[in-house]
Amino acid sequence: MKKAGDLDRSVRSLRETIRDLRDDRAEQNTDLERKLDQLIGMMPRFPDHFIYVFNYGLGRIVYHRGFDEVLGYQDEEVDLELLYNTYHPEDAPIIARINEAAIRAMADLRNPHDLFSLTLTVDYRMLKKNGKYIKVLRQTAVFEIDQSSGKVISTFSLCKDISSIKTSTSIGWQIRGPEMASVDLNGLQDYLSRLQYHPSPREKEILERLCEGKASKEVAAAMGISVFTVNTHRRNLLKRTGLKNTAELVKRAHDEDWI
Amino acid sequence: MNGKRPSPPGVEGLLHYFASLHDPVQQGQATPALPSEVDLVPLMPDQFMYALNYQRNTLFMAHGFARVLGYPDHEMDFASVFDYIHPDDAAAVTAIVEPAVKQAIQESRIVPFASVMSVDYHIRNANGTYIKILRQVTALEIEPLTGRMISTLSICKDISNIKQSNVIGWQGFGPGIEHMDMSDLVGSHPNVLYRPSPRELEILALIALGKSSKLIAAELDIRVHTVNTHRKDLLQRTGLKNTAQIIRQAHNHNWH
Repeated sequence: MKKAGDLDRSVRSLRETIRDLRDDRAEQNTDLERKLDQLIGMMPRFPDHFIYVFNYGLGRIVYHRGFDEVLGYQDEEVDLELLYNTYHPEDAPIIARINEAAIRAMADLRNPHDLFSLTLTVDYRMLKKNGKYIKVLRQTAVFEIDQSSGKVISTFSLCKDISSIKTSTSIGWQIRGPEMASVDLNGLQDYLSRLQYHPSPREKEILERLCEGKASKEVAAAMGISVFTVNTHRRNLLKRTGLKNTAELVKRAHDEDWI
Repeated sequence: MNGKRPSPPGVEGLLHYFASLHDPVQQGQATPALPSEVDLVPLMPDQFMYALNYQRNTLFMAHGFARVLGYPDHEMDFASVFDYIHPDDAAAVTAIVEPAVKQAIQESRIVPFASVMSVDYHIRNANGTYIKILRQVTALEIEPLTGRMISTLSICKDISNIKQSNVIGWQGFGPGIEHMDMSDLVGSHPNVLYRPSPRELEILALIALGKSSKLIAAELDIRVHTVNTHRKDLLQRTGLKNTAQIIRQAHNHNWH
């Protein structure tokens, strides 16, 4: 994404493409339009689906459909800000981190040979215009690749209302595709499992006391266990959450309502 | 993962094929042979799809099975897509999908790609383990004169990492499906996610307004007894303890 010239060119052609599509001027065919046409025309879009194309370089949504039917938002309202504002407050920080990790993994791809070389699936709650939350299953895939640099320019997201399929509020995620071998998924998986780490009841008890500002010695005394055990729990908590120190741990405990 | 599909996909042939399905001359006749481009449909790595003809009970298109489940696409047939459903899920899935298909075959309101039924269940893969899939079924071919459905297209996705629960969820969208009352058909299956009937929804809405059974009975012009039976059924079917919990669940699950 550093080659500004390439990016500008693709951005310009994508803008034109989208304008062409909207104007329905079929004679002004470009490769991009064909791609949009192929993909969006070929993937059956059901009434409970909405889709969008997100351009990394521009940092914004460049193409979308179905937001009105599924969520009740008008076309002109739809932008990245709206998207992020519709995430349920409990889900938003986790989704932000999953997005970040997935974007990093996709940006690392070079010359993927397939449209769906790497796909991310994740589910979370989204706010409809009418104030109700629905559960959405999102599938995101590499969409556009800069021909000269081989870098990923944009991703395509297909979202489906699964409110009646999954009622649990937990967030699931998976990354699949033939390019999985070429990205460091171990790091990503560790990263995400740490994000979603839920402390055990015992760990919560200790966290609660740490949040009160107690030292290991005091925690041990209060719980009737040895200082060594308390310190082992603290070490485990740091390792499992991927956090650096107790201050971060206390902050996370508050953010995620662990105590 | 054998991602040896050429890029970009040559989709014109397939578009032509789908267009031909809606061509009145072709409909009701033998289904035209699928072009080789079907292999190029942009399916995600965890998706597979198939098409079933309900007049001949045949499977006439299968794609992605090898990648997701480990079965060669050409070995799939009408029976196998049902046979691979987990025995614990099979009866419930049939109870959900069959009435929708039957209704679509008998009625004329179904619209391809606009009427869609979603359901999730476990399916056995080639190594004998089960994965959870989300299946979306829509009408593919419609008889031009009667408007009856001939065939369906199913698009399935592996959601094993998304949904761990064994409960089966379902939802219908679009003409001919949206307002189907399936509560009686699926209500008897314990592992199906409970969804209230339209009548129960009416009563729930009135309960949420704080109305008593007596007032609800007066408003709906039914007996207080009937209202109370509905309330009892709701508690029993949801496994909840009291009305407050039901109101909460109705809110959380978007029952309206």
